[in-house]
Amino acid sequence: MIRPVVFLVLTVAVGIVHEGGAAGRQVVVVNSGGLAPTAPRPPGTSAISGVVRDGTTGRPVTGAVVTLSTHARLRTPTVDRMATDSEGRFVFTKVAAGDDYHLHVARIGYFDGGYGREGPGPTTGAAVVVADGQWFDRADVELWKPGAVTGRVIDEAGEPLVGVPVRALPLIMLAGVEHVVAGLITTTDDRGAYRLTGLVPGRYLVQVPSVQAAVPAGSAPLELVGLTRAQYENAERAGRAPTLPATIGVDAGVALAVGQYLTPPGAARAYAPTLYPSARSISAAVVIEPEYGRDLTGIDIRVEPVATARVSGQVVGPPDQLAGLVLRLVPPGSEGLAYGAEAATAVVGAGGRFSFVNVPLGTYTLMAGRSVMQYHYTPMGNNLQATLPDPPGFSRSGMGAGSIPSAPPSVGYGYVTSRGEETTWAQVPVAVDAGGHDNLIIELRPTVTVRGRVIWEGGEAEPPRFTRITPTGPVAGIAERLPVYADPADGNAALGLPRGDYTIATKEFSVSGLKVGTYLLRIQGAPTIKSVTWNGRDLGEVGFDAAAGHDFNDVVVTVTNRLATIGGVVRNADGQAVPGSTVIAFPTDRRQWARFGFAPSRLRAGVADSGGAYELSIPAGQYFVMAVDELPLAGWQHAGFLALAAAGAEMIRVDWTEQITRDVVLRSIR
Amino acid sequence: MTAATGRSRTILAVMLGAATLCHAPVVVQGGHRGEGGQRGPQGTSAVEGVVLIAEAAQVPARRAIVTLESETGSAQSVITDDSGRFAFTGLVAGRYGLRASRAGFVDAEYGAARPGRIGRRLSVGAGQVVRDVSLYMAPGAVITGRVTHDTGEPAPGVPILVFRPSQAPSLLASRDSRIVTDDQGAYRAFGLAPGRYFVAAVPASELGGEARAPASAEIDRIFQELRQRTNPPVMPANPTPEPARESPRKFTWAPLYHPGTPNRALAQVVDVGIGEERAGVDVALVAVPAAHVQGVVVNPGGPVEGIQVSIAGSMAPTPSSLNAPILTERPGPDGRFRYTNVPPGDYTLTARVLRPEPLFATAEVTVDGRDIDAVTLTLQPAMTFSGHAELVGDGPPPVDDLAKLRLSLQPPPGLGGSSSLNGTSFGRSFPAAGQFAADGTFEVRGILPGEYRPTVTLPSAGGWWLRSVIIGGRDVLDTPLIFRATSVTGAVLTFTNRRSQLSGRLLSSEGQPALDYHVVVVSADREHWLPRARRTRATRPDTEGGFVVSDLPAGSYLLVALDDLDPADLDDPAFLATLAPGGIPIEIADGASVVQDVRIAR
Repeated sequence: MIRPVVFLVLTVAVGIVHEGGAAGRQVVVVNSGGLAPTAPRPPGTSAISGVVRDGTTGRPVTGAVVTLSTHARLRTPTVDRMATDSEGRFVFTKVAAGDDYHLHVARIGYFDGGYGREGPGPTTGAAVVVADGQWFDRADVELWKPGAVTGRVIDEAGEPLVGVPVRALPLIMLAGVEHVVAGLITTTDDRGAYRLTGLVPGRYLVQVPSVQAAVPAGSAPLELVGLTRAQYENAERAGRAPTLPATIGVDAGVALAVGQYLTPPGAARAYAPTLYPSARSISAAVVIEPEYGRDLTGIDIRVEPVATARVSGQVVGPPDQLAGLVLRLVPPGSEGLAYGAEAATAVVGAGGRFSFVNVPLGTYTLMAGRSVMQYHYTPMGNNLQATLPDPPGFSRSGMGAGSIPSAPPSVGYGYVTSRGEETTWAQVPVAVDAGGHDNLIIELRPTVTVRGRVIWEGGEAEPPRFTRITPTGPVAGIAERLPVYADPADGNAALGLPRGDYTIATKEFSVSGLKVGTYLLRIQGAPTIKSVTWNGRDLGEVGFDAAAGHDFNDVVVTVTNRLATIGGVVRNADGQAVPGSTVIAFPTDRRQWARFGFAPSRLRAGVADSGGAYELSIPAGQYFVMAVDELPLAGWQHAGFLALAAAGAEMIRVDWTEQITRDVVLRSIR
Repeated sequence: MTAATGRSRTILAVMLGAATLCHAPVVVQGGHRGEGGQRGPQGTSAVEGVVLIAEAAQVPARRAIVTLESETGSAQSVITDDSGRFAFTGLVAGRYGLRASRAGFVDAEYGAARPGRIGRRLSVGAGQVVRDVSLYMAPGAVITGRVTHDTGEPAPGVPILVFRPSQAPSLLASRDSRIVTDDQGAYRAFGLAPGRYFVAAVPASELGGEARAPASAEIDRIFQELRQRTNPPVMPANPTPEPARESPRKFTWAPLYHPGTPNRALAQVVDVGIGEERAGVDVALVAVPAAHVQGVVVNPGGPVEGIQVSIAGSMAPTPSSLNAPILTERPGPDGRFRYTNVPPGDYTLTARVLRPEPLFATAEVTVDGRDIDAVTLTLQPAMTFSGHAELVGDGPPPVDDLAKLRLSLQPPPGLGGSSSLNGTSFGRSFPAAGQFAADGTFEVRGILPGEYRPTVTLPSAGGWWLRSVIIGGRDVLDTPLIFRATSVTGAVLTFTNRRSQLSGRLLSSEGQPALDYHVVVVSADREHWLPRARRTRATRPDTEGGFVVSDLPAGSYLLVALDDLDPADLDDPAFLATLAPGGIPIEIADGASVVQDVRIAR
């Protein structure tokens, strides 16, 4: 008897994946769930079998859908697919010999898992290798149930706050530094209760956003959400209509838009953004740590009305940069979060004049710019689930999202822009006391550009080829340009993620939009950056400090594919090969354990295949190399973990192009 | 609680009062409606009052947002304090709409007889301070339940539709958020106005897949065989054929109404009273067999590039088409296409080509779980819609050059958009658009079969509007415009800046203002009784008994007074039919101001 088995694949990603560091080896992947055509492989004589178990209870998982494919990350092309039986077992037969098989496992109620993965953990899993006639019968997979956090949001009178957003703010290691990033958002029900689900174990804050949005008096609600009536009606038909704000007149010029967040207790008091249990700043908030498959209950958040003041003034800058500008007053520690994290917003009017109204007293960073970015962490969903509404009066002209290399999976960035290039910006500390401010002058500062040329060491690689999936089918092409990013060295989202182009024909690049902070260059799809010289100095690891206030011209970036390789077999204490474990390499120089941007070529991880074999490509240098059974879910590239791992680890020194064979012993790092 | 949410209403015998039918000269109103731009001139009048929670007598509704809307459409809001009190000052004299909203509660309108009912405008005199205005909010009703798979396991992340029987299904019946089941399969729809609701679960299985699910015995057999084969680990030269394993079967989830039927006629309606909480409104999902549908698009004129295909499920049996087939093979020049994951149901397949000449083909298919392999779609020229525009009005035309106007054909309200996912369109209409020529003629090309509503966006200045679109004597702004296979020529679009007004006073049999009634105006022509019809209108008399209905298109109407009205019923032709016998006939001419006083008979 066949039981119907239907499953959901929660993400669809279409895009270009630049594999490894080697130019000319780009592959397009389509994460397609059931859409993928079955790979035309001749039937073989090998077999792969295993058991799917619940990672918490160890019990077999029935009805999990196991997909056998030949691509690690995105399970395509699909070779075969089946559901586990009542004992959690699966078996694929007639498999052709191969060294690139991957198993992906999906089950409603669990995070997706795979062979060599710990649930939603930080790797893409291990390859399964089978020879002709071989039966690999240890392809066991553990699945993990998401954790949940529940609680109520109540006001100072103990009354429930209904229909207000509540969000998880995961604390994630990026560039070796812990950052507050945007997590999943839910809404309280009529009892003020909320339930945040889909959580991976880790460190989280829980926040009730509350924004005092100042808009020009007399603004029409549709105008404030940037829609025409026809667009609104279409959105309404599709069930996607936004909540229309109501405006509370404050004086002849300015009104307070309400309806998207907590309704303030009046026009002279407000609720500030509040973190569990009742904190106004990130540093005062209590970190919660959900676990797999458990409900963390009673995470109640109490909001208190606070006294407010008005902050008025003038922004000074080029007229095109003032038009349509929305200013943000962001509580300390939240600067890396996008719209919705503010205590107050204000629309800049004629002559650069602005007024924030109903601002809770406190200290803030006033932020001005045409682009707002944040990192998000959404293990079970897409990045839109981490986005709060744009501020009333903001006119969105574009948005985008992307992934962050070297970050834990499910971490990406998203940004929203208003019309025009961002050539100026401001980030100014502002203290708001009972007197407020009536003539605060904010000067927009110019952003900085880095430009120069690229030298390809070891000769010119051929231009990268790509395939793009379009509505009318795949289109193949040759890249003429590669994206160049200026990564904030410490991963600070408030610095943005400036993106420019490298033109392959001219070998020239340019990237604009750097603010005050240190940035490292990254060329997506190009080999590893070996050095970045400017004015006779190598800034490859130092980075560009835009505080200098001038552009950086004639920069020479040298890229190389002459990496060293370290390879071998992972063994356990008894000397037996261990399949599917993770091998990491990182510099012995502790100064390189943080502030390394998003493409740290010296902190590498790879997964041993089902025969225990691993290989890492790495620049010349001195490294610790080891195999570990488990990596921290929130990321491993930070001093806390690396210090533990370094203790008693073996050092390896490699030179460029050197090939070293070294078996490593599997360790457990806690 | 047994709130009067049923369909009881009283139709009153109405007699003609001192009827003054006067055809006033053409009234040209400025286009200030909806402009919203500036706050009105400052006056000296004020409105003060309190918002109370009706069910718990005299409990103040704190933190409610109270909105005052002038007759020109400009609005201002205030927040109630801890005693539920609010005040608007600096008002000019006029008739204001007043409403209060608060999350989890049903919006309250001033003068509404019950929650969710239409309110009455508040007359404010010059310098007058209107005190002690009371608005009563009712807690919204709550519907909760669980959605489970047929294994009994919770179904997380399933969108839930909660909608009135007279409404088109909408994901937003509760305005507070989109309703989706949580990780335990539970959902909670709150803030609902009292009334009758359908509840449907619409699993978004468009990304669903298929997998073999062999029984344990079969896996045991495979293991046994593998042990024999791999020990010794060399395969025999000619491996014995594997026992026939069962071929993959495909399933998908069907959208279902509570308690578990795909058929709207069999759905259980949930009737909730004011603030009532109804638990256990569960839906048990059922996996249904999915089929593939494949075929070929043929062009008699030879192979063409750029063929687009789409498939649309009939809207009738299921609440949504989110459960969508997947276009796994897109047609190339050979025209071959393939849909997988097609649940049982009736579908329309459409192929179209936009260039060089617009072409289309359609076919109806019925899927019952078995694969359909040979659908042939033969392309034919797409249809056109042509005609000319006429201007009937006064003063300068709406634009200096008619060629600046764009005519678009959009799906009518209630039929959904025309978005698509994986080659599956929601709704059956493909919008089309065309330009006017300077002489007022127009042509819209590339029209596919479907139902449309012509729309023209006009500059708001001058008050011009699209009054009628006449095809063969019929106004397709009031009746469906359906393209099946033939083009439409000679359509006449009439723009006017003349605006009509129907006003009057509603008086009791004693001649006093009759405040507790609703005034409904409907077209005398039953063909116009479509959902959200522009000729169906309802209002409440103001505090003096006066009522105004603006901008009715010219035509014959019936005017009715009712003691209660659920606004949702206005979309229901059966309800309108019950009103017609008691209605006062009214004729509205272009731009006419008609005054009709109504006296309610005992």
